Amino acid sequence: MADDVRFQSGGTSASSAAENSSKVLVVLAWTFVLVPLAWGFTQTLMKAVALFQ
Amino acid sequence: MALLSFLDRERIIAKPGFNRWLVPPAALAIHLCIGQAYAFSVFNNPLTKLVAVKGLAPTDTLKLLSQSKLVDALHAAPTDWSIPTIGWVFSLAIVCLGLSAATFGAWLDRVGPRKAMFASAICFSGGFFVGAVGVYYHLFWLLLLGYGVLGGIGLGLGYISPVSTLIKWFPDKPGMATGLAIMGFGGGAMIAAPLSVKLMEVFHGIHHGLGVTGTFLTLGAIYFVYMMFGVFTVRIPAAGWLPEGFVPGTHQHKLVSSYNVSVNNAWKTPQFWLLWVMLLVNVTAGIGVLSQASPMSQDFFPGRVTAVIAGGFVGLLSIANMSGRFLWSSFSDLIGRKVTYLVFFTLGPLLYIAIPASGRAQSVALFVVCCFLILTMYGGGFATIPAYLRDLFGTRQVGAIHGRLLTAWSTAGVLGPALVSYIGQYQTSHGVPNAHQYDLTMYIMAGLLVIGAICDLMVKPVDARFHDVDSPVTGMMPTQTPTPERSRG
Repeated sequence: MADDVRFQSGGTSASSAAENSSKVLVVLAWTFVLVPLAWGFTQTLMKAVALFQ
Repeated sequence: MALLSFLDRERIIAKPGFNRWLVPPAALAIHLCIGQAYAFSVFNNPLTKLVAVKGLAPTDTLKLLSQSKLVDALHAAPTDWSIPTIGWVFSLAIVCLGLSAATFGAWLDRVGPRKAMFASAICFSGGFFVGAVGVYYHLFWLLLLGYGVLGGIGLGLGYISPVSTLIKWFPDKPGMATGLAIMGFGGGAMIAAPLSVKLMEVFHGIHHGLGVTGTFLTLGAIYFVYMMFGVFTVRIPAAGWLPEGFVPGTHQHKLVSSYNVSVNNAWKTPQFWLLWVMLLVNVTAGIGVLSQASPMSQDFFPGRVTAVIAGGFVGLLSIANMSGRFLWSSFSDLIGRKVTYLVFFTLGPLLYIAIPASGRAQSVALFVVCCFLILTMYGGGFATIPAYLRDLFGTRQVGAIHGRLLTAWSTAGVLGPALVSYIGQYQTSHGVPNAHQYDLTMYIMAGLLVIGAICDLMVKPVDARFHDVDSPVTGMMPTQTPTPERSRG
C-alpha cells in the first residue's frame, strides 16, 4: 500500500506519489457528487429565472 | 457473514495518510440520494390519474354496473388516489425517518457508517422497487409499505450514518462538515425533481403507469449504485486521530463538553429536550412557508405571479434550503451554535411578520427576500443541530443522540401540515379573503420561533453528573494531554 510505504520508509518520492494519488482521488470523488448537484442546481435556477423576468 | 465482512467497522479504519476530504463526498453521495424525498410531490399528479389512464374510467364502472356485473365492476375499476391520500406516503416516510434514526442510532455507532449506509441503500432502493409494484397493481398499501415504510427506514439510516463520522474527521470545523453532508439532502430534491420528470417522459406510454412504475424502478437502481460509492469510500478515523495542526481546546465555546455523554444519559438531560423543541419549532415554521409558497405567492400578487412563476419561486426556495444548510452550519463554527440559533429565532419572527406586510405593500422583492432567508434558516437548523449536539454531548454517541433528536422532525412533519391546514380552514370558514388567509399562519409561526429562542437561551453546559468520566472527548483530556496520531488535513 502506497500509504504504508510512505510511513515505513519515509521516502520522499513514495510520499509525494501517495500524496498526488490521494489528491486525484479527492478531485474525482468531489466531481462525482458535484456534477449531478450542479445539473440539478442549473435546472432549478432556470425555472426560478422566470420570477425575475 | 464472511461475504459481508467488508462492511465491518474494523475494515474501514483509515490508514495513515488517508485524506479526510474523501469523506464528505461519501456522505454527500448518500444524502443526495435520500434527498429525493423532498421531490416526491412530482409524482402527485401522475399518481392521481393511474386508473383513468388505464382505461377504467367511471364510465366503465357504470357500464359494468348497468350489466349487473358488480364483482367485475369492483375489481376492474378502483378509484383513483387523491392528492391528500398520496400525501400520506411522504408523511409516513418522514415519520419512519425519525423512528428509524432514533431506533438504529445506537446500532450505527456500534457497527460503523459503512454497514449503516449499506442498509440504508438496500432499504431506500428497495422502497422504490416495492413501491413500483404497488403503483403497477394500483395497491396503495403496497406503495405505503414500500416508499413510506421501507424507504423511510432507508431515509433515517442514510441521514444519520455519515454525520457522526464527519464530526470525528473534522473536530476543527464540525459545523461545516455536517453542513456539507446535510446540504446534500436539500440538493437531492433539485436533482430528483427534473430527473423524475425526464424519466416519466421516457417511460410514458410503455405501460399504463404513466411512467411512474418505470421511473421508480430506474431511480431505485440509480440510487443503489450511487449510494454504493458512499459505502465504499467512507472511512472512520483511528482512535485518537486528530487533524494536522489542530490544537484542541483553542477558541472553545463554553458549551463545549470535555466529556462524552452516553445516549441513555443524553435523553435525560434538559439540553436534549430544549434542542428537540428548537428543531421542532424551526421545522414546523419552515413547513408553514414551504407548504404554502406557491399558492401564497399567487394570492399575494394576482396577475403578476402565475402558476409557472410560482413553480420557479418554489425552486428558488429549494436553493435557499440547500445553501443555508452549508452556510449557516459553517458560520456556526465561528460564532457558536447558540448564537446561530438565536439569529434564527430572533430574525426569523421578524421575517415571518414581514411576509403579510410584503403582500399588502405589493412588494414581490420583499416577499422573495423574506421567504429566501427563512428557508436558509430552515435548512441551517437541520445542518447545525448535529454540531450543537456534539458540543453538548461529545462525539462518542453523537450519531445515536442525533437519531433520537430527529423524532422532532417526524413530529413536525405531521404537526406542521396539520397546523397549516387547520388554520387555513379556520380562515376560510371566517370569510377571510385569499390575500389575507396566510397572515394568521405567519404570526403563529413567528410565535413558535420565539418559543425556540427561549429554549435556546435556556441551554447551559451539560451537568457533570451526566458525563462519562472514563470517556473524555478525543483531544480534550482535561487532566492529561494525549499524544494523538496526526494526518493530513
